[in-house]
Amino acid sequence: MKALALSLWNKENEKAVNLLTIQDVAQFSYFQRATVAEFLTFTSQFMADRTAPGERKSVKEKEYICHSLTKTDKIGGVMICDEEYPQRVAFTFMIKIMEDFLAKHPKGTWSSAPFTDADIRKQFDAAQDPKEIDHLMKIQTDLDETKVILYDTIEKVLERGEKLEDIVSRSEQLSATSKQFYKTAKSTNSCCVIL
Amino acid sequence: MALEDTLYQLYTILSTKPILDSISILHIDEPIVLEYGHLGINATTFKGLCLYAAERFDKYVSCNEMQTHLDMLSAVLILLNPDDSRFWIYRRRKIKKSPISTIDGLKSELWFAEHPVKVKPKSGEPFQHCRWLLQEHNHLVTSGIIETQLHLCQRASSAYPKNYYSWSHRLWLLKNFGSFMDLEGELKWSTGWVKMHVSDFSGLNYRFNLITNLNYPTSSTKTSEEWTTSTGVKSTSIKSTDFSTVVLGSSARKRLSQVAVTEIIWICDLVAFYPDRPALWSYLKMMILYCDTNKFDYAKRCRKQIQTVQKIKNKHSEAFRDTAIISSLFGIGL
Repeated sequence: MKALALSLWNKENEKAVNLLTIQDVAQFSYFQRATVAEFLTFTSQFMADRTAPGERKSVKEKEYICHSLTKTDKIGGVMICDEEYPQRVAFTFMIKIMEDFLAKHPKGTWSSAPFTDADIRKQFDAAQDPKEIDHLMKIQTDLDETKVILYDTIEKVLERGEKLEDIVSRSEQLSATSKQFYKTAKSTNSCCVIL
Repeated sequence: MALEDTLYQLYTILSTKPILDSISILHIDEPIVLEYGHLGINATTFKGLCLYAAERFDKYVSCNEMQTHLDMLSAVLILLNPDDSRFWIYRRRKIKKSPISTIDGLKSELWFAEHPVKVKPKSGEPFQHCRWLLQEHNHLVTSGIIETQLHLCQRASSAYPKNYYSWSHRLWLLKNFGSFMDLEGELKWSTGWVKMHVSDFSGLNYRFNLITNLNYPTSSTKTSEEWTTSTGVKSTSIKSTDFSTVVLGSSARKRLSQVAVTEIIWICDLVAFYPDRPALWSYLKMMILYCDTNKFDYAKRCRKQIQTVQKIKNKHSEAFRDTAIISSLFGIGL
């Protein structure tokens, strides 16, 4: 059971602007970590851009699931977890973190983004055990009936005419090494982490 | 020739037995890179080395004069291609001819056996070789060696979900070298593992074997020496999971009954939080059947938790229909 990344986004415009990013790539081998971190960032941006205010999405890709939500007050969240991590807890947790974040960094301060926040990092580390954090969280998503749109693969989230390879090659978050890794992994049909 | 040089370079690294935290196959320019205890092998080099070394091995395997060369080739090949039993068989035959006589010697061969798991966690051969080494040299086994083996199992189980090989090996260690293990610590570890891997039935099966075969200390004498397996040292007659009746004295029965009931309460709590995990439901059924077979009275003490679980099952009955969850609950009145 693993939460790999949590990010918050400014969704005042269609293109999401990063407010905060936390990642945990310790489980990956030493040489893979930098590439994995870049793909987590890329995927988070990709999902944040494509989740409109009021929407919630869960996208499965290989053994990972990317949960994304944007609130109507234009703050977005993306959490990337493995398949074991319960979906309900991921959304509950993101909403709680958004509330904590807004209390400390209201909209007027967002021009200083991205932020780091040690307390949110601590909460993310604690969230590796979803059962432990669930009863501590004050918000009950049972009261929140917002439907989550499910996608089988990340490519299903693409808009008409979009191609993932093009988005990868244009991405500012991916280094040349990562882009090459994606191409090689795709052509040899080997496991490409996250994508 | 480049592959020959790379082969020697790799063997030179391995023969120093460095602390290797990870071994990865990478898309890099260099054939081999070693950084801060992490070994990386270029993917193309990896493939070429496998074929080259295997060809050399087949050529020399019948030549007595090429012993040193074959030792090198087998050490590299068990790392590059752990599923091919030829290289493991060679090493076992060599050890049979010149048996290991020191603890360091045993640790050295175990080091070579353990590292392929970092390349391919779901491979049975490295674990089989470890078992052979430990059985053949059980007079040299120490608790440190067993602890390293347990770490290896954990690593493989983490890297590959529901890893049959690593869990079988862990169970074998428990059955045969349980006296070298910190069993109280092992139980705590198992609790932590199950909480974080709620779909891992192999881990739950191991836990079932662990908790139903421990001699639990009485509350007045809870020292680590009190924690033993019920079949003692190096025994092969540990009870299997066939729900056969436990034959124990009355105080041991009482302790085991308390443990089983506590376990049912704990699993019901996990099922309530993760109702969509068939492995948890199957494990709950195993514990209930175990208590029924041994006439441990759980119904009264777990009434509230069992009722909660029944409500969950009924609430999700439509979603659970035709799934492993419903079939696993057949026959136990849940």
